[in-house]
Amino acid sequence: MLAIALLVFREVLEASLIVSVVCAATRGVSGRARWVGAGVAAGALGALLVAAFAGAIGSAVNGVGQELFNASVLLAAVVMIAWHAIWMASHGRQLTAQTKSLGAAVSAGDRPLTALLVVVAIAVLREGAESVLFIYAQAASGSDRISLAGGVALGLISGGATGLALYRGLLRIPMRYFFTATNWLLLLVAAGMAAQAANFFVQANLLPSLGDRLWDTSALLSNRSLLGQALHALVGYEARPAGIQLLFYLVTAALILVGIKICGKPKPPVSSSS
Amino acid sequence: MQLGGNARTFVQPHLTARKLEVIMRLILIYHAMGGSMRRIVFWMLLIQGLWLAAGTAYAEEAEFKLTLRDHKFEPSELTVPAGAKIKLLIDNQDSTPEEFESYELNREKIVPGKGTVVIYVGALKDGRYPFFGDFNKQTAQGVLVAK
Repeated sequence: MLAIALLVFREVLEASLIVSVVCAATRGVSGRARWVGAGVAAGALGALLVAAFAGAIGSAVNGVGQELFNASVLLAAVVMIAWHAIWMASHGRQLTAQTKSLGAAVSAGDRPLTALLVVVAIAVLREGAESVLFIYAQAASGSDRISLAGGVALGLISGGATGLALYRGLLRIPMRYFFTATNWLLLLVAAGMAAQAANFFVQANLLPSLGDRLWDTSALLSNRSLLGQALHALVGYEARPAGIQLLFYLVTAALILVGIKICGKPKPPVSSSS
Repeated sequence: MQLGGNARTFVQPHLTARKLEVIMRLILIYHAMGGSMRRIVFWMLLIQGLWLAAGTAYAEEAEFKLTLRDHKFEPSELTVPAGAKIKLLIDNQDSTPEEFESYELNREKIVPGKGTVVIYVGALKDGRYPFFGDFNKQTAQGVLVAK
């Protein structure tokens, strides 16, 4: 049961951390619970579908369909985070005043929450699909139903709790730095996702690795460890990155920053149409 | 999936006098072109060059096969050449899905029940690269040895 719980926990953890970052970044937005909930639900539904069609996805495109699928959804999430970040930079000025007082509700329509909904859904979908396949494999190979159910429940709860703990921790950041911090965190999440996507392209032999192993810090912090895995999800930590992963990471971060800089330019003090 | 067939042989292009002449002519034509046209051709050539470079890089990976049976890898130790990209085929004979995973190789892939998947790894340095089946860790363990 513990082995099952641990595996489910590991799968849930990454999605859970991303959801908590999104929750923190949307602090003070009214109706965001509904949006995040919808994202999780859509992701769970997607996970079931992906798991059901895993065979078909895997054998598509000369056996590298799985990598293409993973890379595509990751890059879609990157685009969504970038869109959100740049939108916030261009509209943020009007909003800062409102969000500084936490009570003031910013209506959901004022922000591209759909973008973050998609990010949540994708995070849940990716990790969820693997969990579903694992549970299916366990059930099909005749493992005890009660210990399976118990393990899954334990894994889900502990994974969710870790996300909640991160959320609570993020809320302690002083309000002055809060949105700067969460926006930076989102940017690093996006860069890390781009690096993961790059690795899938290498695994599928569609991009050169530009150095199979740039460095090896696994003795210091392994991706096997929970901290390593958490940092993998949050800031894209890799103990043994390929060269192209670093390239994707830096280019993504740079592009989002440039987008923010360009769109965040102070405009003449004419009130916007919205 | 077809296995054990002859690997595609890759023939290095030879630079003959005839080819050289064609290249010289193309260079002359390129120089005679106007600005925007030249830019278009330049980008086309660049893309094609990259494509060719990718093609030659990917032209001949040696294939290796791992079979999953009763949640065990066969062979559990596989020797592969170091310094070259290799194509790893994982044939899951079990009816349940498995997840091939390796921290050392930085790889992760679902292998459907009764299915075969392809994973490219390398070019590896000399060494041992353990891998495992994440869904059956207690039995599905193996190691890739690059020499």
